[in-house]
Amino acid sequence: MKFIYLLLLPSLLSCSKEENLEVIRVIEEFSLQSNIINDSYPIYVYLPENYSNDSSNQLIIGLDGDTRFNAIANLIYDKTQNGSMPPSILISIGNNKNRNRDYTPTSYEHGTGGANNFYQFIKEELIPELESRYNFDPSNNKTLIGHSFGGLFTQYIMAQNRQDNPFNKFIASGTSYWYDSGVIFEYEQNYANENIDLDVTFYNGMGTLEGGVLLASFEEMNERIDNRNYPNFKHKNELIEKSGHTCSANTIFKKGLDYVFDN
Amino acid sequence: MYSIIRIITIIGLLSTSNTLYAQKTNNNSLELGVLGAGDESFYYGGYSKFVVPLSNKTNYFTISFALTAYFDFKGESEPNAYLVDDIDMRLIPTVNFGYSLNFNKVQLNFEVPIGLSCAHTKGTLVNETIGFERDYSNNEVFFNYGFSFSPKYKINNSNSIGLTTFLPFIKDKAQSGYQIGIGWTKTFANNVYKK
Repeated sequence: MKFIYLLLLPSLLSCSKEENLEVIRVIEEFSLQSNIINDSYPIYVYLPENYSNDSSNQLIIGLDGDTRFNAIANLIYDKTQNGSMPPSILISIGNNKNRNRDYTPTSYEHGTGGANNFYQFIKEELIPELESRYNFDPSNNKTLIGHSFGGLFTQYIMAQNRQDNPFNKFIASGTSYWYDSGVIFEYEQNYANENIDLDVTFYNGMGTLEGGVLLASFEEMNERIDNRNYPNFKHKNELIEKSGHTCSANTIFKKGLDYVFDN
Repeated sequence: MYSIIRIITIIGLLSTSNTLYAQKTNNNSLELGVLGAGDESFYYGGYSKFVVPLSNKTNYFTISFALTAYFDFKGESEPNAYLVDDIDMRLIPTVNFGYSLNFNKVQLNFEVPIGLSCAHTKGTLVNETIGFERDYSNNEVFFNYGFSFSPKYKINNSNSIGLTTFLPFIKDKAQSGYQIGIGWTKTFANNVYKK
């Protein structure tokens, strides 16, 4: 029997499932009802060890909170401990089962196009609620992290107007460029048509084993956005070697946090 | 490099000597089959395996040499954003160390395959909606190991049909995915001895 356990042990280490890392810092959780979407969301909160009552804390919002909260919280814990990141609050938004509704910008075969409503929920309901509970920098310099459909949503928000956009740091992992035949390219083009600058820091990552559509689209998007020559645009894109869609995510989050808080 | 050559040489000598020793009752066999594979994406392909018994007991250890290839020709193509001349494949050569349990008509094979997985991705994405074409390619090689279980039904002395499964133990299943397939096994029976 022990032999069977030994045989099966490596399979249990698969990154296909949520990495069940234990977060040893302060964690809170509450539920937030959205009147905009008419749905409720579990909100997972990580407060840094050196959380202070002033407004120097950075706010990082992560998507797919039901499954990705622990991994990102551990990364932030490590980075704030070694001083490579400022004290940061992580807010992860749960209710993953509705990600096809909330993270997709258009109604299509695999999603119902609720990204704009979800964006309004973040701006008008979530962030005001967080402001009433925690202390963090109120300026529009927040960080948004997403993987897959979450990456699609992240880049969709990056293509929204800058005047009232609460985010200026974006980390996109394994973005679903295939969605609606590459509709995210249209949002990028529309932004470029109306703006001469994109004052954000953007880290874009993709695993090398994610298949032809994503590999080619990834290169195309990075080239297009770099060729806009936005004067205040900071961008790094990176292929994560020997990694598929699922296993590349945490590496991209880590490298992305390094990049956006170094620039 | 020298250690790899040494290991291959030892395996070769071991299999040759044991093949000769095992000829009286257990015989070499060649297995061919088709399979589905993957984790994040679905692939389909085929495999071949040359199995050498290492003793003449009823239940015996085996060593086998397998080559699996599986493909995905569609990827995440959409009607207006599709792949041209695309190939996304894994080529997986392994040496399998196994044990074969034999009953009257049923054979249960347990193996630990150890080898490589070679990923090859190449083609052109044509996105008519956005209006671009872009080539892509990626080639990588990974260490690969796992656990394989293959139950077989003996049709007669020299033919069997069965299932094959492979559970990879590597962390990233995109490098080498789960496999399940069906196969036919031709055993090179020693007919003179059988008579």
